[in-house]
Amino acid sequence: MRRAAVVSLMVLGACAPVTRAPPSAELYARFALVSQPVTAAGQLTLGGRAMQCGAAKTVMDRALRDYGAAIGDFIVLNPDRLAGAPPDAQLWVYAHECGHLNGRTDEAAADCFGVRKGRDEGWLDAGGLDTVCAFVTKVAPDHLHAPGADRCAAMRRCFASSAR
Amino acid sequence: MTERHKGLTALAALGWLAMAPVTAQAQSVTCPQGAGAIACARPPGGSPLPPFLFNSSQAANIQALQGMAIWSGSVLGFGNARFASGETPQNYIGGNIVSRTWRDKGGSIVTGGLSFPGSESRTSVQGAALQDIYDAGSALGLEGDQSLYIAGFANLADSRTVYSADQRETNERDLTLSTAAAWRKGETYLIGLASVIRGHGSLGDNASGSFGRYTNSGFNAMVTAGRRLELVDPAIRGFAMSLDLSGHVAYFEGHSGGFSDDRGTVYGKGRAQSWLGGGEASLQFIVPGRHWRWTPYVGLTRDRYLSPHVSVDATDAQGRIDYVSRRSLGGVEAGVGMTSARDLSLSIQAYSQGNAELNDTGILLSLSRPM
Repeated sequence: MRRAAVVSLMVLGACAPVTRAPPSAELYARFALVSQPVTAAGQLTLGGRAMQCGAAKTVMDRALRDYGAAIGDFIVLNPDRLAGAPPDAQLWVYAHECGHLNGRTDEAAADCFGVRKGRDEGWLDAGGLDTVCAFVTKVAPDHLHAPGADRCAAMRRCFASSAR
Repeated sequence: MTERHKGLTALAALGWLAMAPVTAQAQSVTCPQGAGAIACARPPGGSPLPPFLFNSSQAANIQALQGMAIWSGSVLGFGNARFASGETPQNYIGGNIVSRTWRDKGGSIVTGGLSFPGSESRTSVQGAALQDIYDAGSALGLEGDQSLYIAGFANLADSRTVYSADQRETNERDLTLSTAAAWRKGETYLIGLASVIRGHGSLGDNASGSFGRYTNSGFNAMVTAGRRLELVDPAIRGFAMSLDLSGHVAYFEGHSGGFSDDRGTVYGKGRAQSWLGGGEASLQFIVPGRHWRWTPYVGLTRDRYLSPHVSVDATDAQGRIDYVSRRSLGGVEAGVGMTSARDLSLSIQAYSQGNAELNDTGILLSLSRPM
């Protein structure tokens, strides 16, 4: 038995790590049982406004456990959750995830990217930022996401800064 | 039933241990020189090793935990996700029912330096369980390709054992409370589980009309390490197929209380303890359908008791009766699960495990849903 256990451990240890690229938007949609077709880049409309994040596709997943997520090279949005958010906040969620796809792995950096994208594209003004702040203040903080007030303060600084 | 915790709740079945009377009632038997009256009377000791798979519904819960922690997140790529507001920790509630049959040729009974065959028996089990599985990895904000789930289980099982050589039978009800955690990093995972068992049973002798009651208690723990090897790229085939290799080590210990039946026969205390080592290889599939994700699997198992010790107190058999049996068990298992887009899961699983002396077969139905 000991020999068998040792052999088993050796087999397990010898197996090369499985390295697989993140799933594509279509594969994610298939395995997540999303019935709605994947939205091509530039075809997404949120709050009555066309949104784009480079070549990123969008999957509308009603089972996603958040408003939005960035996976691999695409964005996932939960339309049911977003429907309960103000239009400016919906756009900001998308822009936040776009930030992740553009190298902003840190949540605060993605927040910052989102408000600057809104400002530069003209869909987020000071009033809209207040709306986003009110929205994010209601979100419970966690290990990765700072309390809403702190996120809001940081986003206001980003919004005021000229950098992108 | 991937990586089932074979044998972890064995001691719920300790009732048979209590069935060796301290003062044997088979006075008419002529005992050979050197053999205690108990051994001579061939007490219905059942298997020398207790039914390690006694509480299979627990195994079903582990299966649910494993499927959630190891499979879904890995294949769906949630490990790479970054969320807008922090993933909402998810809690899953569920339960299962199990029906199981345990056949045992009785092994050998050793006392007074002599060995005697035990009694054949057949045990049927019906059980049910409730479970709660919590996505602790999300709450802790684990990043990258890690996940962590913690779980609590409550299993209740009724069993009836009939001994063919004697007109005796036991009926037991045992409650098992368990806590478990499953951690995954990439394709490698670790699962730990610990359980405590409390139960009671009765022994009836249809020949003499005697009847007595006893109690059971025990605990067990198990650690499993495994690795998933992807065999088919789902991006190409449209479904996922993986080979899961795992090994586990478990320890169990249990006691059955001594008692006197209504005819005055005194039954000694029983003890059982052992380490258990084993492994499993299974093929796992994830096949997305229109409304459900299907997850069929088939597996082979191998387990071996390590340094088992099972005994019953007996005043006239040099103080103790020991039991001896084959130590290795081989098995097969298969099942299929279905999960909806909203994480409602149903599954059915069947297994068979045993050796030349004993066989354990069972079927389990499981259900879980997020809340």
